[in-house]
Amino acid sequence: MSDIKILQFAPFESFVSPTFWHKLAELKLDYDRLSDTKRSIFGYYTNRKASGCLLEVDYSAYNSEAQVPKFSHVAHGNIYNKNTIEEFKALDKTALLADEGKQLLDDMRSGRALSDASLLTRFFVLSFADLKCHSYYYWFAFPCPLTPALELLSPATKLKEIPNNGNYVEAISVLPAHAQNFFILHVNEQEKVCEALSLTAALSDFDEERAQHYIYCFADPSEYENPAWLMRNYVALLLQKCPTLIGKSLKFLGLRYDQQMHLDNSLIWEVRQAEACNYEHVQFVGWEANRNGKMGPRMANMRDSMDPAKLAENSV
Amino acid sequence: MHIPNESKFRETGVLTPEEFVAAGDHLVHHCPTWQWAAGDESKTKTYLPKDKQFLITRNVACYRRCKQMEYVGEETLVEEESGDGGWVETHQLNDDGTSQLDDKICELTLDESKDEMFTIENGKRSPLRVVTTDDDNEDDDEAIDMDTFEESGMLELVDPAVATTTRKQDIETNPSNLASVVNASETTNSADSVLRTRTYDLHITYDKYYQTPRLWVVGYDEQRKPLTVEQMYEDVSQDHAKKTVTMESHPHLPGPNMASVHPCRHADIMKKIIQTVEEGGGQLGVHLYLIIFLKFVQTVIPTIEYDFTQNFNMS
Repeated sequence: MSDIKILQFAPFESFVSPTFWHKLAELKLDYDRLSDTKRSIFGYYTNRKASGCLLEVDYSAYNSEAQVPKFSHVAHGNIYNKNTIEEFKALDKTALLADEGKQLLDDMRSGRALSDASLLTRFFVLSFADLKCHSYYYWFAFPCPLTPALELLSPATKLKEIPNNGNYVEAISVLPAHAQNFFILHVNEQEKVCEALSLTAALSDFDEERAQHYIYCFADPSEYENPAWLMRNYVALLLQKCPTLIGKSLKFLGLRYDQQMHLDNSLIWEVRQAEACNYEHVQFVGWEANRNGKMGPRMANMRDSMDPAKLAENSV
Repeated sequence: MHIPNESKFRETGVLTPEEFVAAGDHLVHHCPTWQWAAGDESKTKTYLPKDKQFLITRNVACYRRCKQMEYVGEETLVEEESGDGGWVETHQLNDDGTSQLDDKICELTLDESKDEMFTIENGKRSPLRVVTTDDDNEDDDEAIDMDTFEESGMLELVDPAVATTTRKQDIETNPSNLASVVNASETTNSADSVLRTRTYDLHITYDKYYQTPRLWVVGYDEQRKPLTVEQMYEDVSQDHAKKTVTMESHPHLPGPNMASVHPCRHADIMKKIIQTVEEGGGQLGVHLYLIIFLKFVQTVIPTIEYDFTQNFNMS
């Protein structure tokens, strides 16, 4: 059994704009005060010229409507901003992750994640804002059920090496940019079909015969050989929605645009999940490691742009 | 304040908010890296559509320092006149891995720090401040503090599907980076990173006092850490640094003051351009305002290579 290769995912790396902390400080002082209820926020990721496997947040995270930068897709999150460093430390991180993970599963079961697939890209932030010292302690997590591993059936293939890849690209280009986060390509060479379908269109009236010609596509923010973390939730949704796909060979296409908006280096993975997932007892993973690769939070020091004394010194 | 709704564009070179939106739509359509942004919802201006508060283009490359361009010496200045050939070549050599040039320009950065003009501009601050961090000790303390937060139990859950990844950039530019604490406003750690590609975000807002567009620039270093004010002034034409380019509060964003090209001369310049076009028998549509605007503000930030595909003919 040692020759079985398992598909591994590139974990998300959080990337926080300083404006995210400026806005948090403003909200804490002017609105939340002593309340530490969670806030829902937005993040974004790009699959154009991706560097690392970033999930970014800035001031706009707190807006009521998401408006993401060009060539980016929205991610859904929550921020749990604690009042004291002690609360931040003492909080049961495993329980919080499980709680967030269950909300994700609910969205998959209810069909919400099918009609709005952006709900698959999830994150949350545990934070403590030391407003006096201008220090922001934070810890990101990207919740994901620990489902059975995927067997990688053949090495990843670049899109440009696929025959007739021009047809794929053409079918994809018909989709509006915001619908390119998760969708399905239906490619049947014999019947000369190559069309892009929304998840709802392809899966709600699931036809096993037709599904043999499906390629499950997603905007892939990873620069690595590995697909981005968000593919895990995508697979979980598909297999939960269509259990007959368990044990079958499935093709996933991670869309990666270059500077010139070409898809040549997009990757295709052919995988199989041998067994079903028992969602009653599933565990969740996804806390981000710190810069030392350890399970721990990070800290952003904002003195230079927040401390009035520092600002005065810099504004000569 | 009174918000104009009648066009005064041809007489005075100013814009109404509606004309700003029309010119913005034209820019977004023709220069596809630009897009509209809503900004911070608590700062929404009612005289502009909610989702079209200001314009933004991100991650614009800036390979060379303006200061280098202007201070290197006569030889470079001559080259500069014939387009940007000389310096583009230098950049390519760097890409080929010739470290000799790196060294040379490193020295140059330090020389500039000793330059008299630079010290005057900095007031009392040490000129070397830009390339060194005086926060090193504090950061080390923080790093130790952070260790006490680490949780061991969470790694016990075995997850065979996590890849171990190391960003190419990190390995190439700053191997020690892995061990350092995130410091969002940290200045560059080594003199040589000054030479790496900086990127800029450019914003165009509507200035309701001057009734013109207003350009804002936010710079980032190779690690995408925000640049300090002093570092950003290196990318501004030295004729304009601290005079035309000032630090002010952005109308749509939270956070500290940002660098902006002061709009007090914009309407005048635009009026002159309109007149020149009309004297030549032509007519200038107000929708072209931002395309022209970007052309004339480029003299202030000549090394920031923003997408700018349209040509505009004066005659």
